[in-house]
Amino acid sequence: MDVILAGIADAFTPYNLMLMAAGVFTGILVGAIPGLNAPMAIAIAVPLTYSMNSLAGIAFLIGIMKGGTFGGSITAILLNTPGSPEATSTAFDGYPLARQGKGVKAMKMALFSSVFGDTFSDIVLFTVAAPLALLALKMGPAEMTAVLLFSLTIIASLSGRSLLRGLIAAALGAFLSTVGLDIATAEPRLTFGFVELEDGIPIIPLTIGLLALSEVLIQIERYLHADGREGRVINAFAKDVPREHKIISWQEWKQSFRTIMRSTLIGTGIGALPGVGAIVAGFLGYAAAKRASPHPERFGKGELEGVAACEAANSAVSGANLIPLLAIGVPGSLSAAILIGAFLIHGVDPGPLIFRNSPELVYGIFAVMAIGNFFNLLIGSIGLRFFALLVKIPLGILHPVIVILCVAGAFANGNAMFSVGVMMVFAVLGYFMRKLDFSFATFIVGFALGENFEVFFRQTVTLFADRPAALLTHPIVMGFAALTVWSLWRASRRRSPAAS
Amino acid sequence: MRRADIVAGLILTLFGVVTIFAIIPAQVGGEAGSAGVAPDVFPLTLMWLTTGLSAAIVASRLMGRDKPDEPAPLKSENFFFIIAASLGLLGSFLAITYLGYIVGGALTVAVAMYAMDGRRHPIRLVAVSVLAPLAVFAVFRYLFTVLLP
Repeated sequence: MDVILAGIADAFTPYNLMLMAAGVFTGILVGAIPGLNAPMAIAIAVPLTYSMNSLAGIAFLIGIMKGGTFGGSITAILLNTPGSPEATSTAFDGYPLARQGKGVKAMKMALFSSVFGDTFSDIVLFTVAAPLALLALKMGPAEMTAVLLFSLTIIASLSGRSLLRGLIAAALGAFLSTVGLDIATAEPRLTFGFVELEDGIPIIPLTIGLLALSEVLIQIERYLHADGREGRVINAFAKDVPREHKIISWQEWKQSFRTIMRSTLIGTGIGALPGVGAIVAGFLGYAAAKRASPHPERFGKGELEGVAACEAANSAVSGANLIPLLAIGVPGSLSAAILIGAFLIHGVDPGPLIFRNSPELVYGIFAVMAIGNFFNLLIGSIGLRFFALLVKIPLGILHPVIVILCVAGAFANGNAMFSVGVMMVFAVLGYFMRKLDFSFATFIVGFALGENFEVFFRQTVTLFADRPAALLTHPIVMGFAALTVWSLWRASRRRSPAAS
Repeated sequence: MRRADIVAGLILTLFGVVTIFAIIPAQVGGEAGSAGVAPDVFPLTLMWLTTGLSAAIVASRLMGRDKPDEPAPLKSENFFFIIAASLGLLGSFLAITYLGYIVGGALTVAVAMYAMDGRRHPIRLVAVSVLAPLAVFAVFRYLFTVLLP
């Protein structure tokens, strides 16, 4: 109990509160700018947390994650272009509402649904992560190998359109994690004589390159092909918009509450599964709301419940996807995978041992997550008009500035131009991965899990090499092996041969 | 996607074969020592998996039917773009390495803005390319205590 209180007290220091607020503000800001999203911002911001203490750094990054989820809905509603991929389904009804002059109403509903979903999901995280971690601590290397294999398989099968390409991305990511000194013999592996590679390929420049810079390259290319034409932005705060279009009535609240609750449960369940991200949750929440509605024909034409359904579902993912990260060390989403880098920078190994080695930090993180939801509501409500203006920033200014921000972010990782070079190489690789539909998210998760996977794999081989039949007596290993085979079988049956 | 998949699959298969038979033997020691498992076992396992899966993509695409309505994911214009962008990134890397972040960053922003729509907004181009690197440099220097080159 003392540890819990100490963690909560740490979270309430003015410095941590300020950074949490700054993170949420940055997240909404980034989400509200077309083409930028929270994972990109987290990747660039991770090196900036070097000079902060562990809790402050992680609070800042979690703030970006939380703010970014809502921020993405602003462009979806006002521009019909989702600021983040998970807000895609928000545009279905958000943009028609904005065209009817109800943009502010839609943004407010998005904000409240988002905060509600996120808060509920965080409560589930607080109650479930520790017991799961206790269970995970009882697992040996063979069990952990089976869990990681299953996690990588399910992430590969769910995060793209093709199972084969997903598996290749996961395997390549894990392969690149073997660059550097061997974990047992300390011999250099695949370093090609570069001393800088002896510590392995740095995850932060890799992530910035794959996630942020490659996306900027794609968007610059799209912009050039569109000859600089940008979408039409709707001014939701225009003076001629009547007041009732800017507020949510009690009746509308009552009508939407059941939808928000349903979507929150869907998002939380989806978020707890590794690899099934907020995009899927948003679509499932929307589909469930449409099915349950007495007026399904209104969906897609400006139904407020449609916005509530998507936002509650996609935001409910953000807390729950830290459950597998904290309980077994497997990231539930791309943002969680990048957070692994942040944990490692601060000398914390995410996974079940975190509850034993750094309990104060864990409860501090839980507290900042709760505070973050409050800040999200506060900053989102107060700054709605300002964030809506960001949609108008010309992409011709934005993208070149992001390029030099990426350079600065990569350089901050190790204070060396080598990191910038790594980032640029992975930006070009990321361009091809995106074009050819190889999931870069799966690649990053494979890379992030690769080292632990190798440790457990080698321990398992050492333990069971001369008696492999003994693995049959480990029910968890056999259970996860069966799940792995089942998920591969399901994925291969679900996709047409042409898609795989 | 069919042709692109076959080409990508073939390139990855070739990469896998070269890695398995040339790169890993040259770059990774195969002696297990007292550690139990040799350092090359895990990378080799993953590379065999990658190669097998890449070959499977090629095989499945060769056996599958082409869908005429599927657009090719990479056209010649995409290659021109990424080659130009790679050269731009290389130029930016060299400029920042030898001229420093502020000057190199300004050149990077100016070139990118000019390529996008700087011709239409020359004053905006000059203002942003001068001010943005200065602002980023100052924020990193004084807020995050990171001294950019």
